[in-house]
Amino acid sequence: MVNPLTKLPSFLLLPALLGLGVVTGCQRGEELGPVASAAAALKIRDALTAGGSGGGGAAAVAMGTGWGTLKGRFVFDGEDVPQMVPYNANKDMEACTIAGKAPLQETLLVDESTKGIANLAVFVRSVSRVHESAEAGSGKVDFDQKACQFLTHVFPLVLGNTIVIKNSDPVGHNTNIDGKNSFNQTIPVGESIDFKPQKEEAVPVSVRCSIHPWMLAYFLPRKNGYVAITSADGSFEIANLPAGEDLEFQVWHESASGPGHSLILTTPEAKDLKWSKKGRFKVKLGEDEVKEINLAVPSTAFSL
Amino acid sequence: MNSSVRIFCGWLSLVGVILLGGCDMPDAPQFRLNMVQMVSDATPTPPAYQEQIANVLDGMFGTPDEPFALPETGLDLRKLQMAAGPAWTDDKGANFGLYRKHCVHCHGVTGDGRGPTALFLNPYPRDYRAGVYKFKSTYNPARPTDEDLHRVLINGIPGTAMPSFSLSPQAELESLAEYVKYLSIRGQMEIALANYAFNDLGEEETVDDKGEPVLDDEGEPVMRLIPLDPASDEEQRTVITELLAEIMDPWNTVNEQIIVPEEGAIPVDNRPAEDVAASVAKGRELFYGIRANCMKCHGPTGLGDGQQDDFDNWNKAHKQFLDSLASSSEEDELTGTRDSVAASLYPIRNAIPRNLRKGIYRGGHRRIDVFWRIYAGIAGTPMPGSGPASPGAQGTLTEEEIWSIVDYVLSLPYETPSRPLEALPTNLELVN
Amino acid sequence: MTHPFRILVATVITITALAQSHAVEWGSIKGKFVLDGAAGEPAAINVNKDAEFCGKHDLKDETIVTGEGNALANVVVFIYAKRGQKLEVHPDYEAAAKTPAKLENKGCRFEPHLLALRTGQPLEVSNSDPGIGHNTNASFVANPGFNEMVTNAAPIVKTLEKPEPVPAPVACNVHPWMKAHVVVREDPYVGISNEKGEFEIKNIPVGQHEFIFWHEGKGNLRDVKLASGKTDRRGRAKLKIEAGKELDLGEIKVTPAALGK
Repeated sequence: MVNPLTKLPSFLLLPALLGLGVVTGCQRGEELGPVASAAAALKIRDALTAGGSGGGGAAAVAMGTGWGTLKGRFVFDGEDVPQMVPYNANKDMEACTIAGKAPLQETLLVDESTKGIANLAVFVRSVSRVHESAEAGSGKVDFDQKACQFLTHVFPLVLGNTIVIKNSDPVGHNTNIDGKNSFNQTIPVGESIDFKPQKEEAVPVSVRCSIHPWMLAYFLPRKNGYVAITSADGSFEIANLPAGEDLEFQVWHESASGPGHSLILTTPEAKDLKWSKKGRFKVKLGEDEVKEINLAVPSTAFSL
Repeated sequence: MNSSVRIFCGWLSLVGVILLGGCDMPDAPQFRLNMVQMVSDATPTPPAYQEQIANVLDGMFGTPDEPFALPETGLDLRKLQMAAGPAWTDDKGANFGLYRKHCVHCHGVTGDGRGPTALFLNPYPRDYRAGVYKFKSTYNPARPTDEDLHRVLINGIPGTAMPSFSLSPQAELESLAEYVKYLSIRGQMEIALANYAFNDLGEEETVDDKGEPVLDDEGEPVMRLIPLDPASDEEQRTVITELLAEIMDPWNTVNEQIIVPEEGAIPVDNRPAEDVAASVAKGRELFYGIRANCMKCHGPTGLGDGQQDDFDNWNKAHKQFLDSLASSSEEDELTGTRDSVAASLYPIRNAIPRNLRKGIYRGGHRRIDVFWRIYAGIAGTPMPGSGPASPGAQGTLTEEEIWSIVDYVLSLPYETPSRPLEALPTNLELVN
Repeated sequence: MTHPFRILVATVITITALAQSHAVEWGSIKGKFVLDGAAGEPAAINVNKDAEFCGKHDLKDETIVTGEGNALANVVVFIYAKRGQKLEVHPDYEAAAKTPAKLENKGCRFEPHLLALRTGQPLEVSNSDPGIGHNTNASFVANPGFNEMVTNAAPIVKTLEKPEPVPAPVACNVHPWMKAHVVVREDPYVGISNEKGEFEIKNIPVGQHEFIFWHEGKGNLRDVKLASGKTDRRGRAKLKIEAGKELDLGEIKVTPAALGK
């Protein structure tokens, strides 16, 4: 067998070999599909690392003067008002029960007579200006626990304020706040601990006690006071909102079935407010306007 | 200068031109898309989405030279940087670019199991992009633990081209295992993005300034693709964060998925010979019985010559794609790409059940290794599990029964397939 | 002080009434699939495992199953729900949501060939072939897959937590011809055409929904003509369900090419 290469004039040998290498190299280089654009990728990375949903949207632009008020009510639209069962207390029974019974849970509180839904959080996502009444505070707010229950179930806080975490029980508790202002300390009997959260949360985060694992509350620290928690009759009011700009509100409830426990409404009234499937609606207030929204919430908006 | 030298130089410059101009060799290796996924019937992905998915992946995971990991992945960027990039050694002797030095020629830059040597290997190198690993200590659908990945790196996979890296320092192995995980998470994200783009984005009707639909000449609405651009769309960012969390959750909770044998059922050390024989006999009965049903695939002789018509998940995905291509007559914008993807695939191979008489155990030869294989099955392959499918579930076999099958399987290499003649003197010819 | 409150209550009552009537309105959809052409006789299965048992069942390829008059069975119709979106479910479906959905290994095939179930509803896989060992290997997109032995003794029970975007394949690796698909949805609104090619989905909340039309042959059925309009390039069609009415799609013709023939 004669090597075909030996038949070539020697001056062709090297180039021929090189050429061979080039040809195979080219074939291996044939790859399918597009590759990423570095510039586009960088933008996406910046957006993804910017810190989640809190400040993600376009910044609000100042477009007006004066202030307005938004108020309203959330009413349960269903035959059977949800009935709460007692907490599953199984420890420190003397301290954690009243007349032998543990306090009732608060997963979905609907008032029997008015059908109002309590403990819904309604808050504005971003504003261009803040009225002095809603500015960051510097005071103290109590957050107490008694009979192994947090006394404020959904607890809003304007950043700058200090929480005084109390313990009015004859047993020791520890308070474990989830989220960006992570906090976990023992609160001895009859004492209190001051805690000043620094960071805003996009939705309420849970507060638990590891000693009594059934204890549960929610904590919502915001940069401004444009936050309301619905009262027992389902009503809320947020005053002194900047007028003349598009305000986007987030609505949250611990048992709501939307993403991140956002409340999703599809009723015609909600549609008028451009209610999104992330539980957000939009409102634009005129100067000194008091806008009232009343919303019926079907039972399907909750998952229990 | 004589003429032949001159001609030689001329040739050389010509070759140089071909080298520089004719061949579009990229300067740095790039991650490539999972093209079978992109053109499959499940998620036909138009070129615009392919580009956008490549961008999102680059944003989330960086490039082969400059890896990146979002904090949500929990991946250790320093380990990734040690494994990524070109291979080199610093003046203190620390090695970098470990993946390209040790792995890329088989497993490929993207971890698709399509490095330059892959075509010539049997079995084909693992494609990491589904996050599915065969040899692990966890329940069938669960991810592998870090220790499982380490074990494979240290032992290699006997009977395959996967060598042992037991001579590499611990830090290098950790870096490589992290990088393999990174390629898996990246690959899983790619599949999730293709599904998201196809299922939830796709085409929508275009509207003009007044919100009225734009119609074409025939009165049909003009459609446009909703762009996948998390940089400008907050909702997409949220979805991507959720998708990543869904992918990460099984990786993060893998320690809850480890199969720990019950103390009571583990055979004791130094069992009497008759106990072992009894256990082997029981294992043999199970092997041929219908509850364990081993014989159906591993064959009545244990030679692995039972059911051989089936495929593992990786080959099956390619086969399904080729089958659908063969039965398709429609033309669309992906037709050309489909043909190229089909032409680029390696020949499909059947999943051949293991020949249990060779004494070669790919996932390790310790009794616990064989126990895990029988208990959980082998993820991505036809081999089913016989133990509980998840913590607390009901299994087909008891752990004691599985240990008996382990005993029987480990005895098979020392048993002849046919019944031997009893006590016949051997090598008589040699003696005479 | 009382006056505005009364107005408020009045508004709330009206809204409540409106919302309630919105919530309790339901409609249905039905149709009949017909194969427009010939798909040929289904191929006989080459029974090369457990031939003595499986061989006597006259097994045929079930990718395309037609009935009298070219009626096309096993077309799946279901409602596309966006990520995180939930459809309201009629109370009639509540009981069924807790009853296990049963997939049987019987005569070396899966019965039924197509099975719809809801997230959270138990999936019970049993083996009624005496003395024959089957394994059940399910591959999912959203849920973790499984691959387990199923003996005559006890069924295996699974619960799937997430909806699947497409019907998910289920196989038996011991008998590779055995195939089935499970349709896993959060809601019960799945129709599968029977031997007469007919399907019906009842008690769908009123409004416009995007329906997906799917067949095992080639997945989503693209460009299929419906009574009004056609399915798009993803095999979906937006259809309006009206209160108390049944939307009849009539006879829906599907070409063999759309099924990969």
